[in-house]
This record gives sequence, structure tokens and C-alpha cells, in this order.
Amino acid sequence: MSDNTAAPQAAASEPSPAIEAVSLSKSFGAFKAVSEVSFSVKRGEIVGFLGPNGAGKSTTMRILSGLTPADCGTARLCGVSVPARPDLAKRHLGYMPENNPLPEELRVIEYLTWRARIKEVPPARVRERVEAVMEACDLARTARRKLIGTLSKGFRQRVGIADALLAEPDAVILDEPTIGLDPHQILGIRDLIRSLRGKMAVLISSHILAEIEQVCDRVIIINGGRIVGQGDKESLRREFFPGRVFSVVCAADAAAVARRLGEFEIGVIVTEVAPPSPQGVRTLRVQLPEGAPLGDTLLEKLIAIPDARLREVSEERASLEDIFVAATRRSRDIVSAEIGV
Amino acid sequence: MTRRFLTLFFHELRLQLVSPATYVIATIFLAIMGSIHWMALWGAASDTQDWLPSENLFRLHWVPALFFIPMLTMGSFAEERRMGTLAALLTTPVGPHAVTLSKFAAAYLLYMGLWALALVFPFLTHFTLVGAAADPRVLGASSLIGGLAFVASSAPLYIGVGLLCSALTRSMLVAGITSFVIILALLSANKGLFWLADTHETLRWLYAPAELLNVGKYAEDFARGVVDTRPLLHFGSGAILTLGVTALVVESKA
Repeated sequence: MSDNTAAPQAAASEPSPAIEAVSLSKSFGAFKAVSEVSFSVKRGEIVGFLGPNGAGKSTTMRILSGLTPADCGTARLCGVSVPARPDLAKRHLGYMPENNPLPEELRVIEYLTWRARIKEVPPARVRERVEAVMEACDLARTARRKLIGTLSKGFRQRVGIADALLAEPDAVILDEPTIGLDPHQILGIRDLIRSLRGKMAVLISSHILAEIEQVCDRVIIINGGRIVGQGDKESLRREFFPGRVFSVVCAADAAAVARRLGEFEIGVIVTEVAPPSPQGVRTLRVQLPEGAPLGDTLLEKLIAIPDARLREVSEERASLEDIFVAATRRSRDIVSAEIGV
Repeated sequence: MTRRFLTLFFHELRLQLVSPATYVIATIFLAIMGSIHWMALWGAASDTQDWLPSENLFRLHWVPALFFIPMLTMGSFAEERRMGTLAALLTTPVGPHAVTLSKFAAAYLLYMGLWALALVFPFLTHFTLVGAAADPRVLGASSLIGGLAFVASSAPLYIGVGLLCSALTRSMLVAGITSFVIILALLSANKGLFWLADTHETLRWLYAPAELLNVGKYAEDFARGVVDTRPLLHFGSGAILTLGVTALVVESKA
């Protein structure tokens, strides 16, 4: 009995997600840009939103920010419906659109002060907030009084991010925040985004997978307007690359290794990656099925192979790029199968 | 709501005032209005006129309405949409109505400011020309007040048209040309209706709507101190309609 009542109580006390998309769909004419997209981002979480060009990332972000109405489904910010109460919902939002449009004729400090006022930052706190975001985005010393039209791409991106953080929103949506930046600038922006962890919910779209991998707690992959994978990197890896893969450098050939490992596990696949060196050393790829206990004792089993002269054993872990490619390819295959291509 | 509107309004006004285009428009406006006044004075000095020189300034109200309102409003939404700054603005708690109203108020204030500057010409004439100070016809206060009241009541409709055209496109040029054409149609609609009523027996009923759309007649009435509710209704309802549609367009096309 107590168990039955505890769950609803816990659910009631749990705050609503900062960003929530429930079955969002949007079509432009015959083209279905977004189809049944559902996900949520908790407060304090940084989530990467990945997808190839035209996958529906920007459309989803525009629906969440109230710029584009969805055909069906619901977008919520901190539990407030965006289409039903846009003025209230947008109080929780900091949004940096793709290409980061800014008025060229204003100075950085003037622009941020004006944005703070329209975002309803209390008048007594406007100056404090503008100084705080300029400091956080490294604008205070170098670009404070510069005309936005004269700023470099990197500084313009910083102004866009500073604007998104200005009113200390619960939810921040950044559409391609590091596009066009040099590696130094990317590092700076990455550190800035990391510093938001635990403070606000951040949804970032980017094509730079390494960046998402380093910054985000979780990833959502969208392709053809549908969510094709979401979760942390480990769960995505398990979903798209079940089992474990090892790289083995030794003198034994693939058949000998497969024979030996086959004694302990069914379904082991051993392939030769590179031809043997003049010293007879080969590089092999060993694929173990999902949940196979052999992975933990692989080294021990390989050493026992006669004349194996084992040099190296290392586990190959799928990168986010591998996961992204696998997820988008799988969704393409499903769509092709559905339409009978 | 008021605080947000005022923040947007002062921002719009500031953008207009820091834009070099505004000063170019103001210079051309004053040059044209000065020329009109000079020609009116010249005509009054050489021949008997039905109109006071100051009344003449407002009889030609259609010149600035036709040319300068499209210039002042064409960039309001079109340029912001092209740049993407309108979308960024609409992700804040500001609604499309507040944005539309703030742009309208800024353009209206600027336009009325230009007209106020143009009134310098009758005053200059009155105080600088030898003997003119004694002639009350040069500075007809009642006609100036009436004329300015007409401009103040008619401008919202034309500015509303300009903003609507600007909201419909990303091109300033297209917005400017479209609003020019629509304002021209509004200013000359009565002439077309009169012509139709004159030439077709079955269309005699068009005289009544033609009379309602006779903007020139309204301008004359205002300049002579005759004010009734018809022009106020005509311009007021038109302004509300165009601004309302503009806000809807802004919301749907951001």
C-alpha cells in the first residue's frame, strides 16, 4: 500500500522538465519536417541535439521557442505550454537562433541592456546581469563598447550566448553555437556551456560531434524528422553497437583465434584487419556477442594459444560519430523499407 | 505590458535616429515642403488665390504621405525579417502586438516630427519678411492647427499600410513600392469611384462611398476648422485594421 502511494507523491513533487516536446509534428506543404518528436530535458542537464542537415533540428527548436507553431503535439517550457501561454513560457527561455542575428548598429553593452529590459530583468538588476554575462562570455574587457557590426564571428557568437543567458532562464536553446568559430574560440564556448551544468537546462544542436561528446550529458539524434536515438553515450552504444569489439595484435591467425575462443563462447567473430607484418604479426578484430562473459577473461584465453606471441589487446569503443552514423543509417534503412525502395 | 512597449518604442526611435537614412529622408522632406511653401507664397504674391499659403502646405499632404511614409516604414519589418532579428525578438516575452505598436508609434512620432519641422517655413516667412508680420494670412494659425490635426489623424492609416507591406516581405524595395501603390489607391479611390458613377447610369450609388473616401475634401475641411466624425472613423478604422493584420502577419511569418 505504501509503495502504491509513494510513487504518485514522488511524481507530484518532481519538478516538470525544463524543456519538453510531446509528439511534435510539423509539415511544410507535403514535406514532413518533424514527425512525432518527443523528448525532455531536465533542469541542470546539458543535452546535445544531433542530426544531418534538414533532419528537423532547427524546426524542433523553433517550435520549442514559440517561433513556429506545431501541427500537433505540445511544446512545454518548465511545464508551461508554449502555444497556449507564449508570454509566460518565454520567460523561462534563453534562445540563440541559427546564424545568430544581431543588430549591427548597436554597441554590445547597449544591445544587452536593451535585451535585459525586454526580457523583464528587474530594472535594479539590469546592469548587474549585463556585467555578469559580459564577464562570463569574455566580452567585458574587449568588446564592451564595440559596434556589433564590427565584431568578429567569435565575438558575435559570444554576444548571442550572453543574450541567451541574460535573464538567467531555466531553459537555454542554442542552435549551432560554435558554427564558424576557430578552435580557440570553440574551447572557450565549450567551457562556458560546461559551466551551465547544474544551473539550467541546455539543449545544443551542433554538427561537431566531438564537441557534443565532450560537453553533453545526453544526446538526442534526429533524422528525417524522427528521433532515431536518445540517451547517454553508453546506452546509445549498447543500442547501436551491441556486444564488445577488441583489437588484438598477435602472431596467431584469425582461424586459430576463432577456434580457441569458440571453445568458450558461441558467436565470436574474428577477422583479420591488416595483413601479417614481415615478422608474422597480425592485427585481428574480435567481436563478442552482447553479454558475453568472455570479454573479461579474453587476455587470459589468448595468452593460452600456442605460439600466439600476443603483443596487444585493446577494446574498441564506438565513438559518437560511429553511433551517429549507425543511427542515421538505420533510420534511413527503415524509411526505405517502409516506402519499398 | 506598458514597460515592454516603452522599451521597444524607445529602442525603435533610437534605431530611427541613429540611421543616416532618416536624415536623408528628413532633408528631402524639408526641401520639398519648403519648395511647396515658397511656390504658394510666390503664387499669392503674383495673383489672387483661393488658398492661404499655410493652407496650401496641407492641401498637398498627399506628397509626403505618398513618398515619405513608404520610405519611413519600408524597413521596419522587412529588414528585421531579412536579418533574422525579428525572430530573435519574438523569442522573448514580447508579443507581436507590442512589436507592431512600438514600430507604429516610432514611425508616427517621426513623421509628425517632420511635419512640425515643416511648419518652420510659415513661421520664418511671418517673422522675417518685411511687412509680412502684419499680414495675418501668411501665418494662418487656425489653418495650421487644422491642417496639422488632419495630418495627425490621417497618418496612422498610411503608416499602418506601410507597416503591413513591410511585414509581408523581406525586401525593403518591394515593401516600399507596394505601400506606395496602396497609399496611391487610397488617396485616389474617390476619383475612380466618381468617374465610375459619372460614366455608368447603374453605378450612381457609388457617389456616396466616393464622398466618404474623399481625402482631399477632409483635408480642406480640417484646414478650415470643420471637423466631423467621418474622417476620424475612416482613418481610425483603417489604421486599426492594418495594424491588427500586421500583428497577425508578424506572428505567423516570424
